[in-house]
Amino acid sequence: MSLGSVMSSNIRSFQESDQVVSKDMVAIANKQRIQDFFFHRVTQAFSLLVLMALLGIIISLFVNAWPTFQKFGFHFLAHVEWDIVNEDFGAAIAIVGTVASATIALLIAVPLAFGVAVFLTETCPVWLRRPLGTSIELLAAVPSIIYGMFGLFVFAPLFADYIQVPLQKILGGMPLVGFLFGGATNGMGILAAGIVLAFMVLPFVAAVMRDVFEITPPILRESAYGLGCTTWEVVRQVVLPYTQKGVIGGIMLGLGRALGETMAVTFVIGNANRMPTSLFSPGTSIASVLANEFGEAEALHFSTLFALGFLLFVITFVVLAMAKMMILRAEKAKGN
Amino acid sequence: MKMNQQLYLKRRITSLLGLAFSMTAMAIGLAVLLWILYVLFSNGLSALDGHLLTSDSLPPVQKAVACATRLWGV
Repeated sequence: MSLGSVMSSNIRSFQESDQVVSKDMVAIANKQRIQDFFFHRVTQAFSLLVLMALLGIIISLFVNAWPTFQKFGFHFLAHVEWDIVNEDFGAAIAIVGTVASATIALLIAVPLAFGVAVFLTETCPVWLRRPLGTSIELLAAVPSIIYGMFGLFVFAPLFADYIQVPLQKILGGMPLVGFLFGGATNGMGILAAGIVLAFMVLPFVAAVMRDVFEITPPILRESAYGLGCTTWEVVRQVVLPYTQKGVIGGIMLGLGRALGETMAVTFVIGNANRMPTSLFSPGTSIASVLANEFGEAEALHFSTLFALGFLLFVITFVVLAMAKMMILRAEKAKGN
Repeated sequence: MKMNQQLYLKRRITSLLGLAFSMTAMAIGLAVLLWILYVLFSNGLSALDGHLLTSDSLPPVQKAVACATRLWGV
């Protein structure tokens, strides 16, 4: 056999094997394409499922709430009546109670959570960080009904005797702010609900703040310390601006929880369907009205409770949208 | 370069106050947690026994209470 014929047969066999390999590769590529297609479609279906569930909730809330919206219109938002017998309903009392208790909760919880996060990331000895961090996270593991029970049976009596009475004595007669401390001092009301809520949302906000503070690059902190900054200056001028987005996210997470919290608030807010006139006044929140009245609601009353649920959904959505806008504006201002 | 002692003192005091605030916040958080857990365990543990966990709920007029139905949902 000549050398030429050997070479040509070798070349032929290589070409044949190349064709086999390329056929195999095409088959594998086709299989992967089909798998990718199915994977893409399945994951898309899962995400659409969440969207559909959300849409379903909004639609069912709105459909069930429609008779109320039809009867009262926008007047429903500002109306302060809650008369089940005569079917005259307004959401103003519940909206005020919800917003007031959530605002008080955040006013107390955010500075505390910030302090906890600063302590855990900046000044706490390293060996103590994990146990203390876990302890604060344990607060988040306490069910909300326990907070409610604790609030009603333990906190409210002490709050009435040692906080409400002295506050009323000292501040109740003052001009301009005195009206905030009027009313019965029985331990329950908007302020008590706000305080119990504050300790409920504290661990969530603190945990998020601690996590975002920890991701600040050490080089930034150390540069600031190197320039002679104090610990507080490092936190205020380096850590906080760097983690602004996460901090606002944590606060909004807390606000979302505070707005929608049911049981803890129901136990201590007083459940009175009248407009609160002071911090000690009993009031009600959207979630507590729903929890208290759904069992026996019929006809327009039933529809009104759905309308309140829809409003809670809208309030939460608006608050979160505003937070998102705040973050975007802050980013724009920084030039990112 | 002469150091501005007053400014340095002001910065030190601000930092100390900030850190004192953060420690106080941590102490308040822990105190609330311990308070809730103490109340829960001191009131709850004394009521726990085998009967409570395994028997059906009794009508409220009877003094003995049990929570098997609440626990197991039967």
